[in-house]
Amino acid sequence: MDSCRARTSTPWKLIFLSLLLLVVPGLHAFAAANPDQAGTKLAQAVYDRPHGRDASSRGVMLLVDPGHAPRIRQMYVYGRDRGGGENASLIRFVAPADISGTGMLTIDHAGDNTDQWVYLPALDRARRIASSRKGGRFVGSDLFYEDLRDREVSMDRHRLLRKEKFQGVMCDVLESIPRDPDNSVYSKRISWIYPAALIALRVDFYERGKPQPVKRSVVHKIEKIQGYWTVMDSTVTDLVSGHQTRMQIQKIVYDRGLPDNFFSREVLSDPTREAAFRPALQ
Amino acid sequence: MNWTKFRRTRGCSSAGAALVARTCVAWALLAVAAVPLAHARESFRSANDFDTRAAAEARARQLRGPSRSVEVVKGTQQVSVRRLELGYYGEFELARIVQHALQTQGITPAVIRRTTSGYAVSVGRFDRDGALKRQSDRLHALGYRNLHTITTVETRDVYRVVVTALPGAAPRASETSRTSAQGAQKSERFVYISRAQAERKVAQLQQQGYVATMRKESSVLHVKTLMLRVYPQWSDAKRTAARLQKNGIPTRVVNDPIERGYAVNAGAFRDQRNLHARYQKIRKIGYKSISIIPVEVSVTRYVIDATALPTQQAATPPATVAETPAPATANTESGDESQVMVFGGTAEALPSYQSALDSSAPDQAMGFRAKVDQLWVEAGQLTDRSQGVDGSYYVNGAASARWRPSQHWEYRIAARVDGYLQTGTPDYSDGKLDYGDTYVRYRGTNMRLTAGAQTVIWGRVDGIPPTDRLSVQDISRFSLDDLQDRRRAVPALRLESFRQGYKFDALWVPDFRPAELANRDSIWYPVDRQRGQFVGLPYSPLVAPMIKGGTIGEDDGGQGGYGVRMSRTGSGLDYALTVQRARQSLPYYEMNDAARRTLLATGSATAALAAATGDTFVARHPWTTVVGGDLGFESGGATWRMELAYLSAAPATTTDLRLISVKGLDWVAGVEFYPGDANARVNLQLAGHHLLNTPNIIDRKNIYSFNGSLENVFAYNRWRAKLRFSVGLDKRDIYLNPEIAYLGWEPHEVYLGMHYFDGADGTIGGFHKDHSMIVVGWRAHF
Repeated sequence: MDSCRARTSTPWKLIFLSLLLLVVPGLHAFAAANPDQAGTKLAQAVYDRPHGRDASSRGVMLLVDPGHAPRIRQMYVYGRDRGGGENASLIRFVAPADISGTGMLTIDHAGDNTDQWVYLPALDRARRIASSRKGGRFVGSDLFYEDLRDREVSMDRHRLLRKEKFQGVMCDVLESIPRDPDNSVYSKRISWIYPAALIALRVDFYERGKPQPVKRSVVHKIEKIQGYWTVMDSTVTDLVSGHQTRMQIQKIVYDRGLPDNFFSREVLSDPTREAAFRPALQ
Repeated sequence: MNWTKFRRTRGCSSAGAALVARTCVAWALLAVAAVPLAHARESFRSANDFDTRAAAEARARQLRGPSRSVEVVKGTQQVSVRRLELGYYGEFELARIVQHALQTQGITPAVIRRTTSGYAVSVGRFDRDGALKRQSDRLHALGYRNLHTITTVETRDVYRVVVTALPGAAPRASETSRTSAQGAQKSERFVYISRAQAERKVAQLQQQGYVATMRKESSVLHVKTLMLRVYPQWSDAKRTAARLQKNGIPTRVVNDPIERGYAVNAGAFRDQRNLHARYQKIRKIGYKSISIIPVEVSVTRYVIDATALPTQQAATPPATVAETPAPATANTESGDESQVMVFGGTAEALPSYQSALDSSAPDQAMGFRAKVDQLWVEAGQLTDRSQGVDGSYYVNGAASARWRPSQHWEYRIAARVDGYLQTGTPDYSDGKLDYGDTYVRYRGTNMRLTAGAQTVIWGRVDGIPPTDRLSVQDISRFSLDDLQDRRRAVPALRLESFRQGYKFDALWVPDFRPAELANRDSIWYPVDRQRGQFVGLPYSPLVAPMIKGGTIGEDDGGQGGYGVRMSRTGSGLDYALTVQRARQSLPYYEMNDAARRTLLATGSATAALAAATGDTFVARHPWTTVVGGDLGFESGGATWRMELAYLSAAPATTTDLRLISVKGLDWVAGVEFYPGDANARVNLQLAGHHLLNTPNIIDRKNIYSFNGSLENVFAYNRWRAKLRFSVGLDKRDIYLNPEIAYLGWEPHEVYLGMHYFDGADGTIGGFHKDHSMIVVGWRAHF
């Protein structure tokens, strides 16, 4: 969910901040005289990180509101790179009970076209929904729908600000400002990129007319799984209300060969078919 | 455990190759794992080694006697130790916070260690598995999850009690003596496939006074595996494996990524006789399709050569842990310290929430599950009590049990109970037990067949889909609830087939089930017997006495209908086409013909009622052929939905009170969007209902309405404000349903709302205009 931009083409990557990155040769060249060029290069490197052909994960979202009991969203998230710039993802909620079975299928086509459907088990109906939605909270979390969508590098102007230590490691601090202010709910993002893994350990989100960040994403734990660095634990905090969304991956499996027709209405509207592909916790 | 390569030695199918490879390797390794068991011996421990000089001296005093001399010798030994750590943390201060938290929780040996990955908090060093596990469990119980272990070899001081037999004295077998070991250097060999196990063994041997050398060895094993056929479904393979295991045959289900199936591996053998015995045993159980697949497996083993030395030398063992490098392997997951990084202390600062995460119930996609699905209580107070009724109350409970023994089959049984209470005049109470979705379902490749009671709602638009003609409507609470709560299950046979984005859906309802109606005394019953009026028809002073004094029968026999729906989900556009032969779920009332003639001839309701042969009115559910379609697409940031249905026969009543069928057309066009790109959702629909080419009828020939919903969740989805509405465009006809609900107490929902009706005569709003009410309710899903 970093702005620079960890590829957000499929929600499974963003939801769990699965910024699976490798060191790109020549990163030290970021100290180039032109900070814009260096910033764009860094942003592109992060965007182009390897993340496997597909991934299947089980994760939880913990919604923590000061003064209230935490609420849990538990889900399975599947993603597949279909090639040619097309990505597909499927989210299946399994808790809480009132949304259990609800699914969301997203097909990100090459370019800016996206199809999105939500499956409502009470009606047994797959319903097309507006994929262009940016604002609005995803299942009551601190994630906006924009945070789940692809944001290509060229949509922002990037600038490498400085090097700064964050959580004990030296990071490249990257500023990303939308070229078209209307295509983002954020006016600016500042990301602390951990260059050894090209993962944004922290992202500050700004809104228009507000000099201070309104939201912050912080990564707590990353793990190399099947050769891919994976963000296993992170928190997004609303800096105004103090509300937090903690996201943890309980299990993730890469490159298991999810069939292409897995990302279809048939599987979306039948949790039993999808369940056969759920990664086992043990 | 490591392997570098495998090679098939004889022809198998290409699909089977990958499968065989994986399983053979796994089983070959199991075979190798048996090797150390064959060589392993017990009782290498020396009872005469002590960590402290005091303890050794005490033991020496016990052993001293006239026939032997006893001395304490200080030496060193190398032991394999595993260090339990928390972390890693990017900043020292964060590690300090965790260390402090641990110490306040009684974990006193918490030491901060700097590593290449950051700072780790070491919480103990262990040379025994039990102690390590106890500490690990303790930390888990306290909410700490970022645990890892580091294995090291440490040199420790050891104090050994050395007993020497004096000349002329016979050595005692039970004592560790220099003489007993002299001249009897024993060599032992141990083979392990686990490096950790091997290291532990080395440490153990050194503790016993052995010189132990460990080396890595790669070797090729020739094994034959027994493989049962590939099953398309994991559950089928699992069932076979379970059956074999019941018969004492260890099995393993393995995945075949090429055929996308699962096979059962029933063992890997180096010995031909054992292979043959297992093969025969499996055949006797009843499985004939067994493949014997020879493979070569390259494995890495850890070989320990241990040599026992005289005791005094063992006290200062010259032991070495030499490792012969093995060929590089593709296993990149062996390094402990480089695979996990923890940044910041927040991961440990929320241990109390870990219990909430851990308590999240595991979902059960397969197997048996029974549960209460929903509980719902609602109390409604009418705002206008002039017509006699002042309260309307409702309780509902639904439960289901489901069994999915495999990917193919699913059995489901469900029931619901509804309780109704109305206070005032007339008052009544009623309870009904009904079945829910109760069916047997078979899933095949790209198809699904369902037989039994089921709820099938076709169509695309919200609330009033025109092509939804085969489902059973539930108007026991009129239309107070959302669409999913206004349908009941009906026994039916349904076939769904999926092909490249298309869905072909066929439904047959062999036995008609009419709409679920409210009690005849209920304000939600479609006939107002106090005023003498049918819902949707204008008040008639001629007919009113007939309704008040007459009887109402039901024509609900026969088939329910059938239909097909072909839909396409594609890039940018979804659409569907449907053809149905269906019976109208809602009742349409026909006056008895004899009574009608008498009424028209005499104008006397009393005479007409007396002339009626049978019930005065009969609720009809006429057949109609439905041809329709729907589409949905996204444009301008909104989702557009449209639906149209042509009806070959819609019921209508002529001015001379005869029931006739006319052609009809229903349509809805809607748009859904999020104003301000925020949380609020708006769904607006225009709807039309037309009776075509009609003669003189008392029904409304054209009805236009504007309906939809506005919904906003706020305070992080803890609250929801909603408004459902329907407004007539050609005639005054208003329904408003504002509601505020608290959702933060999951899975419970508490709401306060209102149902407001108003309208002209002959409209729904007009029919229910005295039934506006305020409701408060509680609802929970489980």
